[in-house]
Amino acid sequence: MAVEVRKQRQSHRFHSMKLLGHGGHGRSGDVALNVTALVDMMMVLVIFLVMNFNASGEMLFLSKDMKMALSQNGMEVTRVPIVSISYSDPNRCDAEEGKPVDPQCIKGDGSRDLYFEGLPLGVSLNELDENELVIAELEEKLVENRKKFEMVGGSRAEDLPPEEDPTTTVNVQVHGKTDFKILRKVMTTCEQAGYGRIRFTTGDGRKADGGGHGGGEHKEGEH
Amino acid sequence: MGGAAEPQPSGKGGKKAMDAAINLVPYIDLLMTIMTFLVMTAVWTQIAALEVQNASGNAPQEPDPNDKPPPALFVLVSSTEVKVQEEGKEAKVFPNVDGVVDRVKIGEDLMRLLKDVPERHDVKVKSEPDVLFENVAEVIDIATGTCIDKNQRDTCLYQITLNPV
Repeated sequence: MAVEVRKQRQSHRFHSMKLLGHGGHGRSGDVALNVTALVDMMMVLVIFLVMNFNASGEMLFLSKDMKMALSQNGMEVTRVPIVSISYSDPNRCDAEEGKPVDPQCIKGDGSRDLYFEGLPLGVSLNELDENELVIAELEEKLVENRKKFEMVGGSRAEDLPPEEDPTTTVNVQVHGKTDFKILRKVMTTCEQAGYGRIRFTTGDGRKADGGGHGGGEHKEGEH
Repeated sequence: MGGAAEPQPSGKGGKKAMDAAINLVPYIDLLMTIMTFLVMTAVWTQIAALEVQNASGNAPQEPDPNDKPPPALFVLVSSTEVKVQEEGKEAKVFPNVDGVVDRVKIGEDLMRLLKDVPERHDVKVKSEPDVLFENVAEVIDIATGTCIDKNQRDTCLYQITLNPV
């Protein structure tokens, strides 16, 4: 598929400039350009992007303080309420094997925060009472979420598959360096609020080798 | 730019050329539009979900009195090791390697236990308070992936319960 050479120039002014000519002998300004390679490249890119396309979109809220664990056998993430536990890791700037140190990296302060649907709840998980298993702020948000859904959707939740039911299922997005004692409080709170089906979101190790780590980097890294 | 080859007479005696000129401009435009849309909506972070049921606090389901459930399977996670234990039997200990759970050996042991009792589907994962979530997630992941036939969910350990020790 070669490019068609026009019979007539579009711009007589350009033609009169004889930019492409040498020594006053005007050469035709038309250049035969083969677009086959261009079209091939575009096709490859389109196929690659279509294969990576995710209709459910970017559901999770990722930041530098959210580096998720990896899984090889995880299921598809569904759109149900998202509870996030972040950790501002003081060691996150340390050099990892085979990776250069980022000179612009800012060390974390060790704080652990709780979010519901991407919004901070103002709860510092490091300062919670050891013996208190229920986080009142989170429970309130979860109950409110169910009420809202029932108000709008009525009994629609009953028709949904269990893993998509936003009144009983919750996605819990946890930083990999979170202690189980903190996670337990969040799990107990979810159950107390009637969300007994807990789905931990992780990076998908199958699709991206060692990847799926959250964080602003959006890049793959070794576990 | 953007047109296919001009038809050239190919036969003798003024026969009509079989080649047709194809204008590639709309095709390239379409590809550019699709590419722009796909790049703008691309999700680069691949995520998955590990489901746990009946986690800490919930009352267990009422068992059917006619059913004799298979012996329970426990996986105990501590900061240094993982223990796999079948109810009434001795626990097998798998020390962590460089702070990470021994994925291969635990997987093999769970598979052996599943093959012994193929009707078994539940695993009770118990974790100590100071264990990092990445290790707990690894154990849940191993258990979830333990299947005799990956295409049949009934042959897998799909019912994972997560509780504190």
